[in-house]
Amino acid sequence: MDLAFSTSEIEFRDEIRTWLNEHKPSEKWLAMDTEIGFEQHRTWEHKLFESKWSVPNWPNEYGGRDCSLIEWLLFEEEYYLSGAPGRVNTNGITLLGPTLFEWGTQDQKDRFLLPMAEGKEIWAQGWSEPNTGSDLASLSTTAIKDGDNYILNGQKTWCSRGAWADWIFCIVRTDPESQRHSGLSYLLVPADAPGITRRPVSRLDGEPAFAEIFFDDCQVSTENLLGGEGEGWKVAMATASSERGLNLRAPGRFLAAANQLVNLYKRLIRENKKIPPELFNKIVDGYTAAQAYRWQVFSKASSLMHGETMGAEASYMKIFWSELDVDLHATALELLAERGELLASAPDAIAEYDWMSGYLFSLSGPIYAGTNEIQRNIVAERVLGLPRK
Amino acid sequence: MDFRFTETQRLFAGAVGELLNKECTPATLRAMTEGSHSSIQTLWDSLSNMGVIGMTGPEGYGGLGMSDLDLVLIMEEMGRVACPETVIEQTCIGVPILCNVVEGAVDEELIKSLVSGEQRLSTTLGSAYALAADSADYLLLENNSEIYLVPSSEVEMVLQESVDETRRLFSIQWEPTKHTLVEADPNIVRKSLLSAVTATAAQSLGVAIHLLETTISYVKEREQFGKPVGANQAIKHHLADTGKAIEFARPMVHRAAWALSVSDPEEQVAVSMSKYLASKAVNHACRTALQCHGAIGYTMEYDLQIWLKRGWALAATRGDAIAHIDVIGQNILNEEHDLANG
Repeated sequence: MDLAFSTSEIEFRDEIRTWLNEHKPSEKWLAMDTEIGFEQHRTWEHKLFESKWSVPNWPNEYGGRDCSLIEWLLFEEEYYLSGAPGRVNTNGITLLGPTLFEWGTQDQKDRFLLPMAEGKEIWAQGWSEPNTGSDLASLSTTAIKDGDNYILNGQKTWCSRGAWADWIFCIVRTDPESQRHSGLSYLLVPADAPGITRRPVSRLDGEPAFAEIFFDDCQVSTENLLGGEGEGWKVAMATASSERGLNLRAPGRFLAAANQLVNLYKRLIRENKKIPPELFNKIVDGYTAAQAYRWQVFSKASSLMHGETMGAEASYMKIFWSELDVDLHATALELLAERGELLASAPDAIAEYDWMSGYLFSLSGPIYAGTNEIQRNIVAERVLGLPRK
Repeated sequence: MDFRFTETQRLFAGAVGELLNKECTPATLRAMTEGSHSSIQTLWDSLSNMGVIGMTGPEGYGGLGMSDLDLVLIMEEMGRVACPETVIEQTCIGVPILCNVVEGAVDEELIKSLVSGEQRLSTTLGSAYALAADSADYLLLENNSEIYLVPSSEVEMVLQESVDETRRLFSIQWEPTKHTLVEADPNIVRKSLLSAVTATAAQSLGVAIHLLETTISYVKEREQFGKPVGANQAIKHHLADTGKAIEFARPMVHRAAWALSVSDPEEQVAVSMSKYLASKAVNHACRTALQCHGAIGYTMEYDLQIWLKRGWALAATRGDAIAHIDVIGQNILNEEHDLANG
């Protein structure tokens, strides 16, 4: 065991730190989920790509640096600590990307990975439906084969980035007679295909971050099938483990939020505010939990780098980071007392960080990517071995 | 960055684990308490023969020259079987301090006999009471920041009845004398106490892991309403939360042991974080285990109580969660400069 970073890991960290300091935009952009903000964030993805920082853990041929998992975690830490803009193509590079590497044909990898890394093609996820949330296998959007095409009919909902994304990765029912997990397929759908209607849906914070997507006899080429016909569930599980585990949620974001919380405390102390001991304890608890997440992820990364695989225990991580994020923000709002309910635009708001917006965003964590209740079932049944029925 | 233990570390811990499985059982623990003993002497002798007791001592004194990192998996094994022996007192505190005193301050043969486990030691350093003081030949005591090694025959010890019958605690009354003063290295004393906290955190994890495993077995077997009680979501979610608490405490305990072994500048915070998380994890495990067992767990006859009580005791000793929050807070919140935060 050696938990010190190697010389090359430190050099890598210093390189991204310097690059971010020199290149991150100084002006504040519009929110990612507005039409203009979306395009601003797309240009940032391209800027990252030009310096090979958009997907540093990918192979060189697809725009990456082939960096190690540990280096990628350091990249993520530096990224969030620098305050650089949010990543508009997270759905693509952290969810679909790894799934394409695992399941895509050579032609599909060559077609999709580079435009994803460049920010030319931004992806949305089309999984949930009005009657399909936690129970994904109940989905009913159909894709019926017709020559070289599938004909899609149905509706997807809660598609993050769905209003302006270029592509959507969907799970659809290719065998209309099938039930549950069989007969599903994983299909990559161009968002401008005829027969698609998109309706933005405002999230709790008012931003149109969601979309409903309607398919009316929408034609999609069979070349866009990822994995075999009927293998959609298996392919989807590859994406889901990326979504729950360390792919989507490297510790960087939570370390940054924990540091923000500590700084808020120090600021209030400087302003001679009295902080009750219970709040002091909650701040330290949140800071410690963020560190616990960091080191657990390093420990997982270390074993993954030495040939181990990660299965259902990714659900532990999803529960932990999402509830940590809520706790950090809830504690900050308690610290802010009457200023807690103010939005960043209010004259009296503390300008450094928009805690209320952050809190609203954090509350989505225990819901998306499989609710935490589902994650606890997964842990209990597949990690601890408790009976399903 | 590499989080893996060496094969030697894993094999040694595995071998100690096997020994503990044989010699530290609910039956031997019950026999110990029925005889009002503080120790299972045969177990102590076996651990001594394996070199565990003196493993932190240098080879010149008959030790194995090993570090906190070599010790941490063994401490988890000890928690897993609710080992009652004074290993933390002797291996983490007594041996490192006494092997590093000014030459000649303590008789070399005495030090060697403590490294070999032939003679036994308990201590109140870092804790209010001396564990199993009635089994000890010597007590390592503190007065005005000076350390004394006092023969147990020269102190007055009073049993303090406590919830865990396999952890007999004594308060010690004594007078410091010149001939019992040892010139201890303050830095070694400081490190040995951090080592004891980390070992207590590791034992807490071992207890928590045992409680989780035992409870999983129980809820798979126990049936109500025609199905295993473990098929109910309420039970599943309790156990998933216990598993989560262990999952995120364990790397922090290993990190604390590593930090001590290399004298990392963050060792003190790392140690406090490890005990904070381990105390919370074991308390969670106790609560869940008892609730998921129901009435059977609430009895003396059923073995679960051995680990419940050890869990409560370890969560509180050498700094409970709140005490360590304070240490972490003093280090993080009272620094002048702001942290990087985006």
